[in-house]
Amino acid sequence: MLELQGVEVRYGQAIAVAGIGLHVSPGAWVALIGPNGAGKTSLLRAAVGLVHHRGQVRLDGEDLSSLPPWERQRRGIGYVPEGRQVFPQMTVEENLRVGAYTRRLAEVADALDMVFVLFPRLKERRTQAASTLSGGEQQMLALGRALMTRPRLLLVDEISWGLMPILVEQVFARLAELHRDGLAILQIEQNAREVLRHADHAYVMSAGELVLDGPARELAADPRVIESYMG
Amino acid sequence: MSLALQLLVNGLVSGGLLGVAALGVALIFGVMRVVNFAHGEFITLGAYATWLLVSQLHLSPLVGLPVAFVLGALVGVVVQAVVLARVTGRPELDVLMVTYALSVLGLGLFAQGFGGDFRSYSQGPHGNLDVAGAIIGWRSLTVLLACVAMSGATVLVIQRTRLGLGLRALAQNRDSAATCGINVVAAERIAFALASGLAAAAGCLVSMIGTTTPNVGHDLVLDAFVVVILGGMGSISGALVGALALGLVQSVVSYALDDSWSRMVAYLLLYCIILLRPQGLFGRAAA
Ligand SMILES: Nc1ncnc2c1ncn2[C@@H]1O[C@H](COP(=O)(O)OP(=O)(O)OP(=O)(O)O)[C@@H](O)[C@H]1O
Ligand SMILES: [Mg+2]
Repeated sequence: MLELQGVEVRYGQAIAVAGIGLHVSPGAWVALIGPNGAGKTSLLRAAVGLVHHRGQVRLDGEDLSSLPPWERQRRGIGYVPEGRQVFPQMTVEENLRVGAYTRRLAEVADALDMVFVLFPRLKERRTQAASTLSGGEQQMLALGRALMTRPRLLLVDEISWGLMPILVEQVFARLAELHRDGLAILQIEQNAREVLRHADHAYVMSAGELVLDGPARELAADPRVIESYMG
Repeated sequence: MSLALQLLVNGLVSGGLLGVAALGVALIFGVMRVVNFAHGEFITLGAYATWLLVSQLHLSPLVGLPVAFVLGALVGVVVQAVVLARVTGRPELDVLMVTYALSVLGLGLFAQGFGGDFRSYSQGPHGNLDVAGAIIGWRSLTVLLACVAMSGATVLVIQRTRLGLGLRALAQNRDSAATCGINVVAAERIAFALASGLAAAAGCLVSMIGTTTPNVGHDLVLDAFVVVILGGMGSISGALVGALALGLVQSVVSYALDDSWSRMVAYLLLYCIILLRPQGLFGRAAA
């Protein structure tokens, strides 16, 4: 469903992503791991259209490379950015409503209910300003907001960062539910052990390039991965 | 007592006009991160447009209100699309220089087109209302009412509509707004058009209670900048409160001293705020 070909991202002279090709099949859960500064976030930002890039980003065969982020969203890409990036001065509910910005009014109530069922915590806090939520709650809100767009493909960047182990487990449980219902996921994750347990396929990125890829189960047993990312 | 009432009304009228002007500056800064020095020229545009309607077409100046709004919004769309959209994302100083250049261009065009004469007219609301000894002109009252209506409508749009939700999202986190499906380019254009339309409508009101010159809007916007900074850059409600406060202070100062002092007071205030805001004028306050 998602196909990246020769994607390259530069910041001035510095090359952050050096021509990467990557593939997410319909309904697949794909993990992307790698050390800090490897270029993972840059790659995802290129996929959603937030940074200028070379190469091709294709969704179901359509080349999205020249489209702005809001057009890519309309084609079914949801994005949970690194570091939450919620709308701080808006309430929880308003944040979610922004997520539903492109949906018909009649669908918004259902979408809200769906998110509140997944995250009852957000329902309790629906009138609270997003900036007053805890880090974990903001992370849920960022995920909920992305789900409000009704994505077919969800790009997730370090959603478990800074969460207590019990919350990490919860977030992965939610993602697993969504995946069971057919959502395709491409997930950057520091917690390699956890993500490799859930994903079907995994890529390892380092210094702007892909260094390994294969079925998640195999990578989880690969001594190089264990040594570098699961220590 | 009647003096206090008189000063209060004067303060509310100038504060109201300042508020509508500041609203636009705050909206443009909040959504586009652009300090629009040319905002005042939209006010002048509305003032001259109204003067033309009244003196040439013999229409009521109140007709100027919607006409100026539409004209300002249309010119705003063109300026945003042709000039500003090409420099968004450039360093702040670059964009600042561009809007400054637009302002100078506007000033020059008005001076060329209309000369430096003071333009005014006597048509429209007239007569006075005597409230407890204070003389309140119907014109001033009309202006005040229109300012309240325009500010109120704008706040409603921003707080209660889908468009407003999108604009607020854009102001708070541009990237997230874009990935949530908000067309950032269109939203910026709409915000600029709305702000420019409001400015021109304010210009119509300015022409009603004063004289119109090529720099009438320019002067008003200098105070509006103070107000926007006072209210916290980009905060709409802050700008409105700041405008009323400054309007009232200036009304008292210009009575107690004279007119030229009221501008100086505004900038003394600005200096104090800068001292009190170590994060800088463009730093966004936490709330
Ligand atoms: N906006 C930017 N301007 C300049 N350089 C940047 C920018 N964003 C990222 N970089 C650089 O690009 C490289 C890749 O960064 P990126 O954030 O994509 O890595 P990452 O794999 O997501 O790292 P982490 O695991 O720490 O989140 C880094 O060297 C970083 O310093
Ligand atoms: Mg990252």
